[in-house]
Amino acid sequence: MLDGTLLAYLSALFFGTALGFVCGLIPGLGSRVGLILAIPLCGFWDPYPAAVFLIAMHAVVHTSSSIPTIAFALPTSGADAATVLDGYPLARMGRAGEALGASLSASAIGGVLGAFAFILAVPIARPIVSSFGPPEFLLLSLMGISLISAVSREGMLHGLVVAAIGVLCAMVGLSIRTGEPRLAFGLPGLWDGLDLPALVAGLFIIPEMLTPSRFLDEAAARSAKLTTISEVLKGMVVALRYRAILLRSSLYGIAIGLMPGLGASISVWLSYGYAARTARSEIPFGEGAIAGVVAPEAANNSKEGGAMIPTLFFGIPGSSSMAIMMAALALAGVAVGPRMLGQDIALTYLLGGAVVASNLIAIPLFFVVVPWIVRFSAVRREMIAPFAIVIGVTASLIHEPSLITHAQLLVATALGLVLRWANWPRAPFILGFVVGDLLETSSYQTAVIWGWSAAARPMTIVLAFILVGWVSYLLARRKKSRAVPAEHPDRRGAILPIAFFAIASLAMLDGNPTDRMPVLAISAVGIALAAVILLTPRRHVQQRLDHGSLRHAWLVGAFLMANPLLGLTASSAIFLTLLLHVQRMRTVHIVPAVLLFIGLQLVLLTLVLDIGIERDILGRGVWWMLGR
Amino acid sequence: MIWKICRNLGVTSVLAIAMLHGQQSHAASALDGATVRVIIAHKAGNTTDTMARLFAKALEKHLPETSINVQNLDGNGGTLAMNEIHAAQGSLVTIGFVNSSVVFTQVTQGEAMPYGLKEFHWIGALASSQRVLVVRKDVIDRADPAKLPGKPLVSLAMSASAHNYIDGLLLNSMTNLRLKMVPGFKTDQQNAMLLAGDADAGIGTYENYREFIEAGDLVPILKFGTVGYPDELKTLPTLAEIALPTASGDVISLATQLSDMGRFVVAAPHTTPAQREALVVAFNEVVADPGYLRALKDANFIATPEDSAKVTRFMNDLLGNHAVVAKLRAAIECGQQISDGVVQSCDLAM
Repeated sequence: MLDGTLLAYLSALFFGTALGFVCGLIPGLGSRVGLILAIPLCGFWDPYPAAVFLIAMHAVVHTSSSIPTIAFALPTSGADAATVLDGYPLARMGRAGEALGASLSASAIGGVLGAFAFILAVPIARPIVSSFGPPEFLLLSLMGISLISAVSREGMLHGLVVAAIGVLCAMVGLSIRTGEPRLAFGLPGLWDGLDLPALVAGLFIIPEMLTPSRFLDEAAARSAKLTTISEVLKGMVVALRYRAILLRSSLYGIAIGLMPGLGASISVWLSYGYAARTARSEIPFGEGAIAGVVAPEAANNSKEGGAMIPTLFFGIPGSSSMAIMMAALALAGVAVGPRMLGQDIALTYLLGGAVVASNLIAIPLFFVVVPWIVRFSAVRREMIAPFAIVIGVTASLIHEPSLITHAQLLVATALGLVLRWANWPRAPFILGFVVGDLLETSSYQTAVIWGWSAAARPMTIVLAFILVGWVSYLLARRKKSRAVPAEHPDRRGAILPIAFFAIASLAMLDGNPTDRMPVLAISAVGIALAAVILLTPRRHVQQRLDHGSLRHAWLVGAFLMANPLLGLTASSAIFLTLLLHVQRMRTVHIVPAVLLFIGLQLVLLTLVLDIGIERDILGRGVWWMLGR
Repeated sequence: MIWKICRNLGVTSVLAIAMLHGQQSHAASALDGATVRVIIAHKAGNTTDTMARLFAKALEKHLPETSINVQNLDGNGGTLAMNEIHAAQGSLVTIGFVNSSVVFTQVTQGEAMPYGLKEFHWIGALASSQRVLVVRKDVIDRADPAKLPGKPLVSLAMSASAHNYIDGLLLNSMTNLRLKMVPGFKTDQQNAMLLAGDADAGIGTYENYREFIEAGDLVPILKFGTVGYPDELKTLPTLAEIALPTASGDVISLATQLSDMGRFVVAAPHTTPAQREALVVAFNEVVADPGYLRALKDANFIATPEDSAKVTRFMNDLLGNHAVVAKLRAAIECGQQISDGVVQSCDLAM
């Protein structure tokens, strides 16, 4: 029997949805931090309504996180980064309302389908979860690798080189096989691997903000000021035209969500890559295709329903945020596990219903918030860019404000700017980063535990057939349409990857042989491909970005370097003031805008996230000068 | 509902008044006005994380003038967190919640570590880590410690330096059990693989396996320690009881003690003596706090705290005893060779 009154359930549902919506809106908060913040609030309800509160909160975070992602290119996770690729160009075309409407439809449908999958999985949950192991993960990661071409419109070889850098970056940290540091350059801070939010900020947010969009239409952007609910509605309807993508991406999300340890980003990037390969779109993917928003958003929301299956039925968290959810439920007095398939079946239906209801409640919330936020997106980008850069940097430093994170941000920004300048694809980096680790680990585990007998596993056979069919389809399609991109990548961009691979190889020369081989193999392939690019003359005329578009890069570099010395607050204030001044904003506007922004940043850091004002906010330099 | 909100507001008000009162009456502490940075060497949601957060919440009550700031830093059996705590400088007081794997990592990778455990200040231990070996119900015959080794049992771990990986190697070298240790699986994956039948055995905290044991999917067959286990595991054999006669008594004793102390609270090397003393006093107050104990019980945790003096003595005795460290290393190396199938057994007489 369920406990609590209807009023308790309704208040938990509405309050949870509202809190989750806010957590998604603020870059850096997201689901994990939101759940930790929500735990003390559970005390206001009995256990079951408290569970509804937590589930409702968690279910809508990804719905609202698409708003800053699309409007300001502010993704704070690898999963959100896929939405930026088409969502932000749409916003710069003045179609932010439409893009957000499409994301809302996709999120809601994905979320509801995920919830139904959770409810319907009751009789078949266990065989499904049990049929996936390392051999199946290996095939899934190979599918991910096969999608590199889908996110490499600028050039397949270029995409492979960038993906190889991503795979190498995924290898940074302690080796699971030997326990020894790999590619850590003697820095213990790198033992835990690279920080995805910092990489996303450096590779996507900052270069995007510093360079004019190829798709920018100022007149259209200005029209975004007039974004109305009707435009969002139009976007919602447009998304429904992509029914096949919606369904397929949702299924990807559910399937990957129910496999513990696979990670959220994989389902999103697989969905995006698959849509980019198969969907028909007037606007190419990566330049503002609505399907490029629909696919990742549907997968992003539906995977939570999939992740609930192992978490709640077997007590095995399907994702990192589900691990926190389990602990939060335990603290709220709700026991999860196999009981939910039997004696607590009512709780299962209650929580599935809560996910459906919260996704529906999020729709009017979305309508209330979007018109206000989209108006900001129509402000001249030169005015928005400084704030967006600071938000991106803040979000990436929130969880680990160490010198190593600063350094990662700096290196990722340099790499992102070079790739942007040379017109090389950047999305394959994230694909390589999220898939590379899985590929290496699952191939090793498959070899050790099963060897060739893995090929006899039923699900392995099914996936192998799908993989072979998929690759054949890709090859056939590639032969048919050898489209020439409008802008060719600059082959001189290959110099940086070659240097990258060479440094990685040198760093591993005296490393453990077990760990050295994969690094040397990836580096050798990367160098060979980059050399081919460098040595192949281009017949077409280069239409590269003008160099002046990166003229403020030095200011961003100075900001990133000053950050650990002066701290986030001071360096943000100085950076904002200088860049807004350079952008010719009037001083009377700069001062209140910067003060308001810094005030909000401080409130977020100190009151909401409880980050100490010592070193982390004021900076090591200031602290040293104060003699502490 | 309205009554519940009123009740909670009432409780909150009472707590606030109590805290204000506490602020007026609590003894001056070296931590007054300071920020205590709490680093949890486990991912959010893990048993030690939940326990540490309950401790931190109670600590706030006992140190009302101190700001408590909690963060998670998991990975490589706690070494990432220990490294961060070791590097802590300035006026921040940095403490960490780590488990006994930091000891194993120090022993196996000592030279490569940028810190030594002796440099830290041990504030106490929260609870036993209730370490157990479990097997799937359909492999129980093969896993009977009394029987000779048959086909090795596949057991999964996070990495080659993870606590359960080292535990598995020790079982290989000191008992008749034969485990094939495979790294690279997150805790959740380990459990999923066990349930799916792709792995045979698992080593970890009882709390991690409790649901599956209660559901009849997994069977506990061995416990590493002697305290902190629920009553239903009272009759389970211990590591000491099934160890081979040739196994080192020192290493068995070490593994048992590490499981019994389990979850340590450690302070950064730069912590001043006054701050250290204040932390020890606060620790002793918190572990005796009825509210904290009730919260632990509500979350199904069993508290078996150990004080600073005992933990410090244990660490100093262990790390200063080169003979024991050498025996432990030899046992781990032997266990690895057995896991790899290179040898069937080793002669560990030293």
